[in-house]
Amino acid sequence: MMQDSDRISQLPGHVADKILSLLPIKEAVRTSILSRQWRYQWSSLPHLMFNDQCTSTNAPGRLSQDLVKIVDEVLLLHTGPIKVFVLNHTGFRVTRDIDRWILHLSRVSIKQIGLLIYQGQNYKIPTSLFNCQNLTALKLYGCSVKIPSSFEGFKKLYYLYLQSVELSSGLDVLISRCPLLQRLNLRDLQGITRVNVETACKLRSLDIGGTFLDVAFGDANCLESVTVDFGPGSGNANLSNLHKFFKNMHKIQILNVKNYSLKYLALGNVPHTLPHALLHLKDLSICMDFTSKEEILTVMCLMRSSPQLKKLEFENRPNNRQTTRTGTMADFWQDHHSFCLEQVQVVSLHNFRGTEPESEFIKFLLTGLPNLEKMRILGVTSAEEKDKLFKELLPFCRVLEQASDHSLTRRSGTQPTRIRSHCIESLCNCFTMLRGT
Amino acid sequence: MSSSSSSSLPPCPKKMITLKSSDGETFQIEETAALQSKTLENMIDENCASTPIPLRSINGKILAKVVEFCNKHAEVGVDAESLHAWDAEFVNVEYTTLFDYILAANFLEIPTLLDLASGVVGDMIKGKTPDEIRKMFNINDAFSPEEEEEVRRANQWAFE
Repeated sequence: MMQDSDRISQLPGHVADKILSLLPIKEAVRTSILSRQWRYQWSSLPHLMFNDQCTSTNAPGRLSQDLVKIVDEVLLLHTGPIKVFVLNHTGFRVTRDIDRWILHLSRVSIKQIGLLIYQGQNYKIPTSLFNCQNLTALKLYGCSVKIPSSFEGFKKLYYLYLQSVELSSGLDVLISRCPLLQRLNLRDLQGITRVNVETACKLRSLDIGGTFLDVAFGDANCLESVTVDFGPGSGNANLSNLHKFFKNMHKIQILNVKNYSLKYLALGNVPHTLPHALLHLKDLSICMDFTSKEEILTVMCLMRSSPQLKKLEFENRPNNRQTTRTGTMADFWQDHHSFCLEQVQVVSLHNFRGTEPESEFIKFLLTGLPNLEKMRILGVTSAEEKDKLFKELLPFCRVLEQASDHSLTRRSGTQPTRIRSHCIESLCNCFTMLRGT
Repeated sequence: MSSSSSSSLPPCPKKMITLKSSDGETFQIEETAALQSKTLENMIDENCASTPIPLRSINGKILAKVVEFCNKHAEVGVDAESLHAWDAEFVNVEYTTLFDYILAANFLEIPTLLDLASGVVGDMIKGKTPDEIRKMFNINDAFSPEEEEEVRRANQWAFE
């Protein structure tokens, strides 16, 4: 009987590379034993990623030594260009052997480097890294960086990610010497309290997290996506952070305000609307304390200033205060029931605890979003709470078309919003979902 | 040149191009969908797409599927989730057909299809022993035991 031919061995080299690069490097190297044709196929792999899957779990004590040997061997046997080199092994202890690898990479016009060091001291980045002139992406974790005076910049770098990195004062210099930088992630940078991205004129995406006092943006920035993830101690009460933060964000489309960042933005004066509207903002995601008037006012200010918002996401950040100040909050809401966002279609609420301030906020949203199609509420646990919440919210949805379930087609509410029938269905889904889980 | 647009045509006709498979079948595809193929894009740019384009390495059965793939990916308003599900179904085929997809995508330079199909092959290999891989893909030019031992020694760590 004729056997099928060996099709996989006849694939063009770059396709075989593509397939091999989907495998953990250990399995890719193991294909050397498949056949004569496969023997050296792996050695031209342009992506080299060394992670936990490289080492066997039998000898945890020798792990770092073993990994050094593995990387040495792979680099020695490798032929052709190396585009990506990533060291991301959680058990690997920092060693000077990395210097040798980086020197090698600096000579093969490497494009992307990731060094994630989780064990031992911060790894001191050798000067040879700064000679990698073709770098387009650099990701460092657990490293310490001292920019050499001779550093001319990474002229092609568009992505920079630094987490748990010690930089002394080099961050501004580093950013200012990467003229094409488009994506910047800064997380938990030791000793850095102020960040200045004024020189990064091409920056489109910024993700910044940790404890910061100040972030400075340039006048003509073209940021489209911003994530802020500040710890509780961030900010300086003397500044009007909100105003300063959004002063030059003319092009922002996606904004993600995580953790305590909203508290930071709420410090100082919170205006009714921002002086410059966020005309392109479509997607807003906010972690908030529903009992803080300052934070709610800040959220309202942001929503009022963003006429094109399509998607809203809120996460409840429970506070330590025991009292919920219900009485004063009810008055507060009475004063703030006039807003309208026509474009918003989807709202999600996470970590919902079922407290009154939260429900008030949902009612506020339901009355101000005339074209809402779907609201998802996640976090309520008991069936009773779900029933209660659903009954409480239902009057705020007026049904214009016949909904499938007649028991839900109720009209009431003083300022009803025009929610379409499928929205009610969504609420039903939400309800059944809440009930089901 | 197709610039001689006759007056009898509707105001905004969909531009179609014709592809001809190795076994002589012809397929019509909208130009917007065909643009996902860099090879076809180049031909369109150079005005070489006004007559049926012969694709001698792709048979009718595979070309029909490739056209279907391009049409689906050119549809407007398909959300990412449902496209993902559609893709998964599309590559749920015999592995030999997968290789046909890969070669067609490689020839026509359709990166989405190439990534999708090679991704499935990668997943098929993942976690398998060399013997299982050989069997699965009919790789029959194996080493002698001595040679195999040598290859193993050269990359000892990968076999531990």
